[in-house]
Amino acid sequence: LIHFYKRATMRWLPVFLTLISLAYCRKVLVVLDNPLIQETHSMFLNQIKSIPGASVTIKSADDSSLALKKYGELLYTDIVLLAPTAEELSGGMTADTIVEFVDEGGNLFVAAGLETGDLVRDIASEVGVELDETGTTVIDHLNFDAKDNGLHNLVVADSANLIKSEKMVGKDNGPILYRGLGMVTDPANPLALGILTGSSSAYSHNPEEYIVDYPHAVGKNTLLIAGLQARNNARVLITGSLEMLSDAFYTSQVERAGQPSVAAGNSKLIGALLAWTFHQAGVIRIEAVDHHLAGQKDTPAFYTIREECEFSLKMSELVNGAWVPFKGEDVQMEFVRIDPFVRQKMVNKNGMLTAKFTIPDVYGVFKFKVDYARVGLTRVSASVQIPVHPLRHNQYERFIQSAYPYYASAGSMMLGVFVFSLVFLHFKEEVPRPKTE
Amino acid sequence: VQADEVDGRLLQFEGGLSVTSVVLTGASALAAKLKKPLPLTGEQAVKFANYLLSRKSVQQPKGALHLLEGIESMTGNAQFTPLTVSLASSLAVSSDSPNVQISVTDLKGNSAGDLKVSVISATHVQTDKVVASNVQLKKAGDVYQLDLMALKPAAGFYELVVSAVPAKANAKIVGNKDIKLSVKVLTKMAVNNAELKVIDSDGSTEGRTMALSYPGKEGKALSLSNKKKIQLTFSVQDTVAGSKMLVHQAFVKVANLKSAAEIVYVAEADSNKVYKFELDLGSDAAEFKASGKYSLSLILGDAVVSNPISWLVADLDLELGEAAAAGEPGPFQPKPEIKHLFREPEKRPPQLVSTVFTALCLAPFLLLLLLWIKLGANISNFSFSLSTLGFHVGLGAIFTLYFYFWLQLNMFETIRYLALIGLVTFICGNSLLAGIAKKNK
Repeated sequence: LIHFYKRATMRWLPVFLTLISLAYCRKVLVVLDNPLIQETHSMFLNQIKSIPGASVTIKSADDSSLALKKYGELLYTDIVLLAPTAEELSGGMTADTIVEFVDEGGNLFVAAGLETGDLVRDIASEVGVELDETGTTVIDHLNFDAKDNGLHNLVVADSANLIKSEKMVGKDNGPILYRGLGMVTDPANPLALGILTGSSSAYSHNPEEYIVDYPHAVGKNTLLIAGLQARNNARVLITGSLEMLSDAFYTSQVERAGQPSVAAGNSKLIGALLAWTFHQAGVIRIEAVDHHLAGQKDTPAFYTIREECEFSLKMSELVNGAWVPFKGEDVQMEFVRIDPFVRQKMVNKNGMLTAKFTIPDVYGVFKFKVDYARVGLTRVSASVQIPVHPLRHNQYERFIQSAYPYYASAGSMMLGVFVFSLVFLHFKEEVPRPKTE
Repeated sequence: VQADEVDGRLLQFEGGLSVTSVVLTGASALAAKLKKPLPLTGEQAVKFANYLLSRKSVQQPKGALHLLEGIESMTGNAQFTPLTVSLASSLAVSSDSPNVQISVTDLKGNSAGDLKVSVISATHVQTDKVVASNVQLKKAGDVYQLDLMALKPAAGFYELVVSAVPAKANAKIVGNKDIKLSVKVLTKMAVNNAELKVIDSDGSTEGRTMALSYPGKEGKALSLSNKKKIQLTFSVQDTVAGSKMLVHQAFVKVANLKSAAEIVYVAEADSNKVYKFELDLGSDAAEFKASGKYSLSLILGDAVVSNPISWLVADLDLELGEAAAAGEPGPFQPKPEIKHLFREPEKRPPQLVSTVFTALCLAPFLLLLLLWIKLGANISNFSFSLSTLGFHVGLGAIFTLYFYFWLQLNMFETIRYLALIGLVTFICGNSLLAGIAKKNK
């Protein structure tokens, strides 16, 4: 009975949870520190408003009605923080409460700027991103735009510097205009993502001081856009430049020395990143986990060692608001009893993933485990527990050649007794002729 | 509605562009009608103008209309005519483009009449040196021009304070005095006396010294082990001023040609403005994760330099101690596949052994038959009576039942069959023995 319950929940639980989840209804809070941002960044705000099912609330950083929770429930699913200079927000929203918001599954989009207060710095460092100090900027003497105001800090980042994940940044991106702070992440942090880096000649430093120590960030380690996907799949995106989201940058051309002018790719990139951050892209889920003996349909209560087993599940991906079959070819399945005994790739047929293998000749309680984590996709996992029995007393090999002597001896004994009984019972002794002569 | 000042520079009415524009247009129309001046100071007019101009990137047609109407209300016969004084040429001034061009227009971009435009002061930001003061600019076409390079300025950022005074005094003109503009004087740089030295880490033997000249590359790839040091020295010259200069960015980049991983070092200048960079492969080898082919490049740049340099100096072939740690897949890579190794079944003795012993086991039965024949055994007393037949058939059936029990039956079925057959066999056997005993009496 317990096995049935486990099997049923494993199959339907992910589906229930996704229905309950807020995949179709997003409540976005946009916090501004300067009311002019509504006008200077109108295209960016329109991108947020055009997310399907989104209801957007725009508030000022010092608005007293700012609040994240009401009666213990989160009021918003996503936050866009366009308040780099804010030292604190009203409504009790501090760096800690915002990080708690992310802990509870909310997504966060944060913009810093050339002047950034402690609030954004604290939020960034909580998610593993270190912003450079105020007064510094990203400088690139070899890749700056002609509209630069002299410091070479209106840098151009090629699309080659983007993270290699189409689900996050889309494809065919143009060069990006950027003016702001540089960021670094710890390479040992497995969750932090460097989404857009500077070129090899970029660096982050105070333009008015000579470089004495090593700059905060140099070369490809200078991150212009950084992100994090938390273990609960909440996504955080931090860009060091509020200006790169502005209408002026969206609509301008990129003019570099010696190269033809091209349209800036800011709008397309930020559109893709917004979709990723707010769980419209790069979201997958597992449905319909199933396992059975090869060739049969029912799920048994237990397996016996060395049986051929087939494990299957269905994975879908959210594309443009609809769940379509997931096309990943590198999903792996593990058969684990504390340590994995079998790990193999699952064959993907239009969203149905299957793996066939032989149950190992070790008995115990095993788990079918799938744990799929790739850059840009939500992390999904599923596990089903199943016992594996050793061979029953009557499942061993019989009629072994080496045992023929034993069979022969028993058989000959039985035959002998039968024949002997015949002879013994009906034997007629020859009567010896009396010696009469 | 109330006007809010933003950043001390802009003045806008709460509600943004549309509200601001509507208020300004309406107020100026009302003032024109009533022929009474608005309670507006020149400063405030300038700030309103700043706000309107900052909304240049408006997206909607409705917004564009408001912008144009707002600007219209501040030009022509308006109470105040704010002027825009801005840089018409590019920010950077160099010997290729020595002129600073300033345009002075009204908000719509039209000429503001006869003006005397002069640079009150031009100050080098870094040294606070004033290179020009009270210089009048010449009118060249629509703009006012100053040949800055003729003053032989040092490279760097300059702050110009500009004033545009109308030839005829005009109280309407505002926003025309003490406008601060920034320009940058560029210079070209050259890398001189670049030398690459390879020496032993402990400095025992005198190493090789290679002179390099930009943009050439050192011909042969340098093969280095982790007992060597590389030293790169160079100086940067300001070709205009003719002296050595310091640049903001003087980096040395070592890049792995195969994996594109790079490490960037900062080259430091000594008191003679000679840059020196040293890389000790013995102590710094930990940063290089793998041996192989690398490239050594020099990246030089500065905000006041018009020709930033990225110079591939030499190719390196590094032989470092241990090989890199085996590539463990990251958390986002597929893990290595595991196939379970099944236990090999035990080896069995060769079939010949079992065949021989099977024959040996069957031999006694054959021997029994042979010896019986020899002894003259017979079953002559066999009589076809029910009990005899019953007994022998029953006995045979019991043994057949044992055989089938061995093949496929389970204990329960066997016991059932055995009970039946056993009973029959017992009764027949009993009666047979009784018969034989009677016969023998």
